[in-house]
Amino acid sequence: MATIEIESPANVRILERKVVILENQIHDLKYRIISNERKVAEEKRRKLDSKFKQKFKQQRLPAWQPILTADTVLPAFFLIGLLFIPLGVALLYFSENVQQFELDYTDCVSIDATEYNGQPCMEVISKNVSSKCSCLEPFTLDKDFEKNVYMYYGLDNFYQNHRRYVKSRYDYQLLGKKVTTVPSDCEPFGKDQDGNIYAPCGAIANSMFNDTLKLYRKASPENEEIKLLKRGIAWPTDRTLKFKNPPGALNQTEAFAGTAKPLYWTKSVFDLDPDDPENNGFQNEDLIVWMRSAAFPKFRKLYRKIDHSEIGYKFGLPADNYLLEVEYNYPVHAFDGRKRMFLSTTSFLGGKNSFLGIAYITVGAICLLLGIIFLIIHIKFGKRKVT
Amino acid sequence: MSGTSGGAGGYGDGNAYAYAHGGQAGGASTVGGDAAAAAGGRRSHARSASHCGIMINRDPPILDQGMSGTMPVGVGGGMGGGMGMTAGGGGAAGGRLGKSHQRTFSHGQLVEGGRGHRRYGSKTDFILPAGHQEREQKKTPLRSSTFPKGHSRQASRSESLYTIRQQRRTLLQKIMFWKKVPEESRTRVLVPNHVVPPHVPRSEHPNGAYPDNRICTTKYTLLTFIPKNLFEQFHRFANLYFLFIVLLNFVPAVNAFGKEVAMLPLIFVLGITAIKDAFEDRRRYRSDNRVNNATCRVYSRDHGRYVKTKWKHVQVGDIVHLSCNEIIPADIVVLNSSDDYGTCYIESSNLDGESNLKQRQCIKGLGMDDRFEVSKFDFRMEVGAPTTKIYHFTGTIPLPSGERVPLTKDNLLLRDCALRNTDFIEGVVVYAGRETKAMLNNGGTRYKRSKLERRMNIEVIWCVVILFIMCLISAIGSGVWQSYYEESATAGKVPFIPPENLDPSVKSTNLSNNPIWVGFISFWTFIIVYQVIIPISLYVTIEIIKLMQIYHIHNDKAFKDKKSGKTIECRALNIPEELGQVEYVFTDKTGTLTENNMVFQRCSINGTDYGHTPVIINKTAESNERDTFTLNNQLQQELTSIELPIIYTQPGSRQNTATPPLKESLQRVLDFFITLAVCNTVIVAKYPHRDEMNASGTIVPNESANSCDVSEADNASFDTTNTNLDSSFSTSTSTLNSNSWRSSRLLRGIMSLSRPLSPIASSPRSTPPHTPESSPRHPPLNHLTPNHHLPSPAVSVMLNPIDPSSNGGKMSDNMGIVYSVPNSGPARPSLLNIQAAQVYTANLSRDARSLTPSPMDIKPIYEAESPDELALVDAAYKYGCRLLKRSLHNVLISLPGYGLCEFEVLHVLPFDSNRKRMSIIVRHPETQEKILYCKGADNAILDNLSRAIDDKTKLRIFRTQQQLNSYSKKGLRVLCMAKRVLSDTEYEDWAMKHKEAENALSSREHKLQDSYLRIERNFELIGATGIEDRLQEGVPETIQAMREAGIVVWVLTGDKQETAVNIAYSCSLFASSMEILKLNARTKDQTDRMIKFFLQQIEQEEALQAQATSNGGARMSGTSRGESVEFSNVQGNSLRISNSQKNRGLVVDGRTLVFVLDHRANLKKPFLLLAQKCSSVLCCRATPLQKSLIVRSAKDNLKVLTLAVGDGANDVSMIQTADVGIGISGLEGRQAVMASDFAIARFHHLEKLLLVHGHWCYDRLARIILYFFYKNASFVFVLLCYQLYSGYSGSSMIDQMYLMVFNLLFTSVPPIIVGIYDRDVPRELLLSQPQLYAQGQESRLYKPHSFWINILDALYQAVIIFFFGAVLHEDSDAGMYEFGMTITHSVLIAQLLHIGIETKSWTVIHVGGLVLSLLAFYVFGIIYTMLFPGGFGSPSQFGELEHAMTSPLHWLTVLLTSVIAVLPRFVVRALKWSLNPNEIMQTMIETRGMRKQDFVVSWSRSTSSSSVYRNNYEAGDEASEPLSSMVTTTTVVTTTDEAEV
Repeated sequence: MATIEIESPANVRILERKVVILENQIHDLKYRIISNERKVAEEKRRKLDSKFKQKFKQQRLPAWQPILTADTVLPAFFLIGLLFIPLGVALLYFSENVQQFELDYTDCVSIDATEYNGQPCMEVISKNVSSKCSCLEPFTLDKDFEKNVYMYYGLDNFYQNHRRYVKSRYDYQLLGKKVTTVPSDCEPFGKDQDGNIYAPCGAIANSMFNDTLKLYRKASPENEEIKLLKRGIAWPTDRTLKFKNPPGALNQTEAFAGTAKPLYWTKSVFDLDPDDPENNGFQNEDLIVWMRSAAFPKFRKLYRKIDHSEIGYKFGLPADNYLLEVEYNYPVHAFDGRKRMFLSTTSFLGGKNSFLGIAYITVGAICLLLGIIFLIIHIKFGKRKVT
Repeated sequence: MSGTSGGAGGYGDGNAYAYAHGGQAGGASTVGGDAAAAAGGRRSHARSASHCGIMINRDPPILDQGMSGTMPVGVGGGMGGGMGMTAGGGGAAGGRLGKSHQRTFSHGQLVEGGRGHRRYGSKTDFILPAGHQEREQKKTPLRSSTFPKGHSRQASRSESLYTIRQQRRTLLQKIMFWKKVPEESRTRVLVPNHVVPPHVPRSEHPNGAYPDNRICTTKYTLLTFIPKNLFEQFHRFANLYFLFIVLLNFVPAVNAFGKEVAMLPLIFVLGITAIKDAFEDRRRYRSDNRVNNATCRVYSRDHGRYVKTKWKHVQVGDIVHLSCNEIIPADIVVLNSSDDYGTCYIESSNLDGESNLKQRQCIKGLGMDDRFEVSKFDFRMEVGAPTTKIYHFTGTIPLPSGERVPLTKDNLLLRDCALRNTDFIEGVVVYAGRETKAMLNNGGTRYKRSKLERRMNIEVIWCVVILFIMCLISAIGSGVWQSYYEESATAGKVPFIPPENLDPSVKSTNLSNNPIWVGFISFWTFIIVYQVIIPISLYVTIEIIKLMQIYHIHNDKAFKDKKSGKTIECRALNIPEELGQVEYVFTDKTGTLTENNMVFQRCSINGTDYGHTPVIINKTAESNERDTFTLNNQLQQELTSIELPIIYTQPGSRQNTATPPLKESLQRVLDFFITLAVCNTVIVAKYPHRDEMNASGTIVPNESANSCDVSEADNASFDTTNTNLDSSFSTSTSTLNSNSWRSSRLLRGIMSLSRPLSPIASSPRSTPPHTPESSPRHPPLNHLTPNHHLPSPAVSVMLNPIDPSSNGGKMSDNMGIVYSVPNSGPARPSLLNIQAAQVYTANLSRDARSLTPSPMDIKPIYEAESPDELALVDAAYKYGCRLLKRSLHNVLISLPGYGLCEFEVLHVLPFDSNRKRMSIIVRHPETQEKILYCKGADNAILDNLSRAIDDKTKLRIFRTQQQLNSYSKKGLRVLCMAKRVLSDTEYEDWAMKHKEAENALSSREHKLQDSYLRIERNFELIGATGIEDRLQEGVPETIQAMREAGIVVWVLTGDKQETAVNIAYSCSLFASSMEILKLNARTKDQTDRMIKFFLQQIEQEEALQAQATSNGGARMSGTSRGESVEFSNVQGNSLRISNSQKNRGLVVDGRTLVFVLDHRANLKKPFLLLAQKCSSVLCCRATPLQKSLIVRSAKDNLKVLTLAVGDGANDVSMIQTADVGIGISGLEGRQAVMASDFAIARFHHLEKLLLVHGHWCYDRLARIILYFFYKNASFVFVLLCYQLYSGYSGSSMIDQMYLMVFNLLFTSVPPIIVGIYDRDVPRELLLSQPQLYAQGQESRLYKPHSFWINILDALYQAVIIFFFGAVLHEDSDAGMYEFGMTITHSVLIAQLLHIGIETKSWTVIHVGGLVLSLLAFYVFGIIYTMLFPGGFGSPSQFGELEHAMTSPLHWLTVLLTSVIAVLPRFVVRALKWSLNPNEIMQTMIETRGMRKQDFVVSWSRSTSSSSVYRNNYEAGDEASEPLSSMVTTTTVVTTTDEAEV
């Protein structure tokens, strides 16, 4: 009888080898299973992919085919109606909360101690453009204007959107780049007779609004001047990125060497704000605001912000009597223009704008009405389609 | 085996996509053949394009040998380009054939050497993967100058014929131009080039002044591309307009935009067009190259033999050798032909569309008639100057003797024709290249402009008018506005009107403030500002949309024919929407409606009807064999019983004893088959046409070419087959199957390759039980002919004229391959070649061959002009009555029981359409009787039967007639067979008179006719046959659907009237209820009278009907007349056409058409009027020209949109004339396909093409075009509104860049997507309800007023958007561009909402398109307004978008205005669809209703409704559930709706 010697070294070796082989096989199998799974998954994905592709090619992609009949459009109308009416009401509410005061000072009368005293400033200026004219316009605020109060100047019948006017600027120059030539768009306000480039060139800059408006609160003995902020009225991006001063000190010899003051200006661009050196050159906020062409011939532009850090104005402008002092420089009579001053608070919508709210309510109502009409149509005729 | 893999590689490369069409494979095989030839020393030259696979697969034994034999060759081939497999096959062929030189070719491509060619880019190439690699062949070690490359040539009738050919003139020619003028005046003299000493400079060469054979159709070269292309582009109005605007921008006073920005659209459009042009030209260049580099053999003086030469190097005066089926490279005068009689045949379908063979004649009288030798041909030739007249050619050859041999058109082979039915010819080139008639006749393609596009162009003109008006208004406004400020502005006091000059001294010339001047200037400015209203982007967009529509049509699986593997081929890219507006369809019959596959189906002999069930061979991708039939048992038994008596009565030599009279009926059976076999014009080619030339270019005179007996060929191949069959069959079959599978997959679309594969490869032994071969009583033919036995191999080797000591001979010795067996006999075709050749013939000509049932059965190849004859001969063959040989005076047939019989042909009375029969008078070999066999149309025979007949015969005739009737009712093509035994005296008498008639000088035709009539009478009726040309599947349904869709179907056929009418019934062109009007007139007056008579009759009927209907209408509760007509027809489910007056069919024959179409006769209009009264028209016996004339007159006079569909060359002119040409890529070559706009595989695909894709394409395009007008207009109207607020200065609140890119970037994608993917109705519904097609036909979506409605809508939307915006932004601190941004945004949203309303079905793509548009707007805005503070030559937009987007007012404005803007359209749409939906929406609502029926029905019942509709509901309810019944009820409801609303 031959018994198997399990313990024998030869057998052990064989067994060990077998174990190794088996392990390897198991490993292989595992690997295969894994790779197989991967393959299957991949296949699936590809199939899905190609299915989409196939459907795409065959134009059989799943489609939703709405048929615009009474019953299908009904919900849309009701939805719009129910959405628009509350929105309109809200808008109206916000708009009504905005307080606004408007003052037309076009025809104000000169108070200067000159021969023109008592004459309307408009006429004074039309006679001599370079002559100075100041005037005072008293006004009353019936209600407290809540913080923040903005001051605007408005022009009427001023076509800042005229094609040739709009183009008459040179953004490259305003970027603070050194320019030696001006585009033809700037003409005739490109260069002066000596060949110096106007800084800034073009008709827009040349015609910059240059009335000075000051606000006083009527008081005795002396009217109290309300402090107005000149900064922060332009878009931040405009002030930092679109308008830049040329390098160097803001004067005729460095930054603005070789340039000339625009023809109609009384001051050079680097002297625009004597109080705040930062607010000079192309980065002067009044200039920046002016350079943004208004959309319509009747427009307003932000002029100042009421400084609410002052005592008495912390919460806005109290209802009181006020005086508007105008240094009347800007001629508008040639084109029948009007000049106005606005004081306004703002809502998230900007200024006072009740039209938007009304429009929303109206449209919402119309949609509701249409919804009802369609409901009737549906009830009356809708089922006719169904056989 | 390296060969196999190489072969596979070759396949793979060659056929990366279907369109390669076997080019590469063919090339590969050719190379292989060449290589093998080289290796085997046979210098053989097997040519076969694209059939290599077949050869291998059909002939396994040979393959086996071939493969083993050519193994090293395979290696070589593999090295050269990896074509081992095919090389093996080709090599086998070559090796076995010895010097035989066979060419087969597939259609459509030109294959030269090993370079596979892409098929002259079909216009759909853009859809396909990038062009395949062309294989480098130069490395092939076997290819050297001594072994010119094998070539397989198919000079395609490529698009060359359809594109404008311009000839490149050489510099020399240009310089010599003035010199040539006098010389060319009338005739030109040319000499054969080989008589000119070599190296004569071209200028002194006698033929040097004539252009070479190069053609050049490209428009540009690399250098001239830019200037020339620009020049051409600026010929287009649109581009000129662009250029004008760009130039306007350069005028300082006028300029509205920056100069650079204004150029954007122009550059964009020019660029896209230039790219497109460049691609097209490249394709033409390739096509030219392919044609120019095709090769043919030209005699070379240096070599003293023919040398392969590229077409472009062929010169006038060259002697050219052409083999069968080769395309003729230039205009050639035939000098020699392989034919004994010096004839050869050409098929000129490339030139004139006629596919019949035309006979051409060698020049006779040159003194070398018996044996032509090239070197001896040294005559000067005088020929006329090249003209465009195809059938006009004159010239002479002055002989030394002073005689002049005339040259006529019968001697001239024209370029692009194909040589047919002739082994080879030799000829001299007389006109080459651009002077060939083919090139001179080459017109350009007709640019097709679709109906929709024509309509659109009118609207574009209206847009110009609108633009002009807008500019005028604005300019006047500008002037008026300026006048307010004139004074102060001049004084420089108005700050916003910059003065022109500040210097007061020039004020006097300062025009800039003069109102009139300002108005004038602003007019031009406004043209720039408003330019967008001319929707230039529309053209580009529509091109893109159409391209994609075509892409989807192309990819639609529904157009794939599973049998042939063919799919749709869209060749025209710009007229997909025409498919949706077709009103008249003109269709060919044979091959279009039918399979063009004649199958012998029934026969009646002795009044007994024998039916045959057709065996429809399983038509898979691998097999496209023609249908065959099983033999009728009874008939076969009768035939064997003929045989038996003969065998039994004459066991020994039957010649010695007189043949006992057969039973009468049996005799008639025999006669019947003799008639089938003898009475025809079938040409028997016992072996395929061979090229009498080996690869090195020398002609090997082949003595046995005409004396070679069929039995020899049979035996030879039989034996060889036998030896190898068993050993190799089983093994090779399996490999072949896989191979064939792969190749068929790869060569999808090549019917030619796949054709013979399956029956043999898949079931090699399963021959039908009734084939004569398997029947023991029918031993194979060769057993009957023991005296013609196979020559021994040794003899054959000796006979082999090819020098065995050549290079390859050694090679074969080395390999130890026995070549003697396959080379048994000179030019003996091996089995391999026969089959390959059969494939070719079946493929290329309409003479499709029947399948040989087993590899052993070698059947002669029959070539006939009429497939009917072929089917009959084929049938006779199957019954053992075999036509073996036909010469001018003898017909050799093998008869069951008799064996070989040689009939002497005494006379052939050819077929003509008057007699409608043909006869043949033969002398019976045994009885020496003179018998006239006649076959013809039933009435042509039955009317001439002998009168003295007994009752039995009467009965027989009666029964035959009955059977004939039943055959025709089944739509079978009916023929009667009759015979007449002529007594000697009778015959002699007639023959004499006939001879007189033949020789008569005057009115010969007439006399001949009389003579025919004299002898063709007193027939004895033998029997009749019914041949079926099966209708393609789905044809009746398709025609029915087309008629329901309101399409008038005309069938134009060359067929006989009887057959045509039958087919018309069976394809439901005519219904049994129809009244058929037959217009068969023989004179003009008669035609006139008949048409008038019919018209009168119809009028009367109509009057009657009107009365009847009005009465009926009165009964039907007082509805008006028209509605009641519709009502009464509702049940007919053909709402639109079956106004009962249309229920007529018109049949016209060709004769009558001649008068109708004659301009002078003035009959066109009455005829068309008559045709309009009929719902379908059938024109029989129409010639190709008539077909196209009919189409043209319908198109021009009726102003309808026509579609022509056909499959053959005879339809080409019709296809080209019609608005839409459809080619059926069937059996008849590719001419029709080449000429067509769309090529489909089967007729029934037309239904889907028209009803689904046509409908969709029209629907989409019509809506999109309108949308585009709206889109551009609304954008411009907004700008117009702004002029009110900006002093009419031409200022725009929208930045110029936005103005330019708005249409390109922001709003282009959604309409394109709708244009491509929107579907108003699902395809299933469109198919089930053909009447929905009417929408396109009647152009309902795009009516003249649609444009104005859309313009008004645009105006409304613009006004709403602008003025709401204005009210909200006026007197605020809003900047101009900020406001502009809001408006742009609003317009964009409104336009997107608008397209949303227009969208009928939303898919992911639609949504994606909208999202993409919005994203484009925002992303572009962000990039443009945030990155460039300096602006682009215009006021900077920096920060505008950011500012606008952060303002709630902006969003609220956009929301409000866009909603108000689209509200009316939305409301109107909803109202219309609720109250008065059109047919399509109605159907959609119906289906929707079906789906949720349960709910809706109950709901609707709960509410009260007017009683008028109640009935309908109930009817609908009853018919409810299944979709099909719903379909029928729809029309009912629609009608009521229309009547009501």
